[in-house]
Amino acid sequence: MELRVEKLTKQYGSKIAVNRLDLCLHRGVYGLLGANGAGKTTLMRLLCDIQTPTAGEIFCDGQEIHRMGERYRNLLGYLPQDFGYYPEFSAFKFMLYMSAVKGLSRACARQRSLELLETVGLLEVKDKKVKTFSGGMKQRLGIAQAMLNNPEILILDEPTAGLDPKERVKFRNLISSFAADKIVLLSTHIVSDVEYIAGEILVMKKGTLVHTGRPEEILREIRGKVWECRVPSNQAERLCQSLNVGNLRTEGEETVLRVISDTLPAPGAREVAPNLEDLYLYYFSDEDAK
Amino acid sequence: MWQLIIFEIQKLMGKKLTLACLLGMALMEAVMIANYIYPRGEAVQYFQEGELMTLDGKEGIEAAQAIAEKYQGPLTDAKVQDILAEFDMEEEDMKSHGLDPSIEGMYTHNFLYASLKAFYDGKGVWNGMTVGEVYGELGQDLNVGYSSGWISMLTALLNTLISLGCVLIIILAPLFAEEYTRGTDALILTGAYGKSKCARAKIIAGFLVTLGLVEIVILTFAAVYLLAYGTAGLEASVQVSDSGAFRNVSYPMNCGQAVLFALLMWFTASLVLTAVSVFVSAAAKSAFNSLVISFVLFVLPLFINWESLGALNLPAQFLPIRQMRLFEIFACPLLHAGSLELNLMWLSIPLALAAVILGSLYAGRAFARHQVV
Repeated sequence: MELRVEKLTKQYGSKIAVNRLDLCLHRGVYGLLGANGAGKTTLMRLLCDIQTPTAGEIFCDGQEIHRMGERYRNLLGYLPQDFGYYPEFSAFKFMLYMSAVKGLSRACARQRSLELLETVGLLEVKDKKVKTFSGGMKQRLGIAQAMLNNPEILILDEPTAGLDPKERVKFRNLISSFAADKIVLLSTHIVSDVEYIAGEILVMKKGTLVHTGRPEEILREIRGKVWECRVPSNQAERLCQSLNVGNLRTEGEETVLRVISDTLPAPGAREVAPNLEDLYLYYFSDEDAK
Repeated sequence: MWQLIIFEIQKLMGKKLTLACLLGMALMEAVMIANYIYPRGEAVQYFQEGELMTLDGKEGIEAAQAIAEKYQGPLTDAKVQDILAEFDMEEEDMKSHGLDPSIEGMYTHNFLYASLKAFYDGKGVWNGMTVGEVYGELGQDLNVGYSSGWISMLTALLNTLISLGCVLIIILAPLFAEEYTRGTDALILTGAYGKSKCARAKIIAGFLVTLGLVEIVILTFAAVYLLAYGTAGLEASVQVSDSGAFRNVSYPMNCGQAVLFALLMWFTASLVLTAVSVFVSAAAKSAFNSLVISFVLFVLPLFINWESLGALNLPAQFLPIRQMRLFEIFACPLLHAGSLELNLMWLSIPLALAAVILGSLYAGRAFARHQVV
């Protein structure tokens, strides 16, 4: 299975959301990192064929996805960033409805819905109306519906938003077990989610991919650029304004700063091993300032 | 496919707003039935030994039907004279009961006397007009009979169905558009059947809901009216009725035919209304936009002076709300092509079919091409 994107462009008026993007995805879990407005959601919608590209094409095993139509959608599972539900439907009925939309037979739909509701911990509340669910429960239901047709290509936009740490761990394990022979693309702001399960990281900025690679490869890019320095607490605030500070903790009279910088940020600073959060800050600290 | 259709019907009918509208409609129907049929329904007034007798309710209907039976058959000048003579009220009797004899014609003695308004003046005195002068050539084909029950059923139904048209717009406006507003569009459109069978299921569900509700309303009214009035008068001409609504029909039409044509008009108008609403719902960006656009398209023709628009008036007869009102389209003259005569109303069938096909086609296409934002 191969999902190939060629010179993909999506433009809204004068704003270019995705800019001549090339990408090739094979089986495995891909983590898509990028600041708000980087074009992640647009890229995912284009991959799902629910937005038409301004230019460029997407191929699934060599066939253009729009032409594949139903055959492509049969391979697809998608969890949008903000998805709606039918308040008058129970969780189970919602799953049955989505099964029907995905073309599952009635018997298969029942069985698969119950299995997945159990997997995401919603079996006990399957007959409750979705409108009574908390944000985390709705998100788990969304994840379950995306997996109904056992998709070959699973696209998850911010799947862990609204989940508590325990649920996030469960979700990560679920994706890991599910993704064995599938393409899973997930975007998130919670970098640790990607760090644990993604085999490959895609870093997106201003509609283009600025980096792709395995986490350890990509982290190599910022090796020697992450520092930890101890400064008197009264100087910490001034340094935070002038440096790209990732983390800050107070230890007695001193403050320990985790700084992302191309050069030694302060006398006595020591180099530390980078993680994906540092990488995120390295690439997107200017975006956040905007 | 059926499973999807059932889900879509549940989505449409399960909304609180839908249920509230339907409940409102049911209450309105009940009030209408209570006001128009029970306890009055029909009134027959006459003087008996100086006393003003008024029969209403079941008695009134039976009395009116007896009168109709007596004069049943072709409308002739002699019959007009007999009816005027029989139901004329004596001036003295009227005065003694505080009734103004100079406007005797204003008092409805019974449906048959009221039907012949064109033949007498305000005092109830024959104005010298003959059947031929009042109705022209059509006069030869007119039949007297108990038209009252059928005409009041048609009048009550057309008012209710116009209200139902508004309710249908409220029900159908969210069919596609609410998926966009709610954010479920992305889920549906990425499903294998999302752009194909699901879109078709939505369209079919829309039409089934429409046909189901129209049928329920018609059957309810039919049952209530038939119970109250019975089946008498199917052969009576609609032009000879106490309601002026159908007096302008320029060709022979009895109550039975009027009921059949009314059913044709209501069902085809409902199909066109649904086709338009379904398409608007798929093309609009939100359920609110869809509701406003569909509602304006449905109601606006009521506020246009179509006669001043000349040639446009004829095709505009097929706009759903005008068709549902019956009066104007019933009054359209027959179309002549050589020796062939065609009632314009039959054209509603191909027009409704075209609307259903085009509306469904474009709605399906608009949904499949919808850009999720």
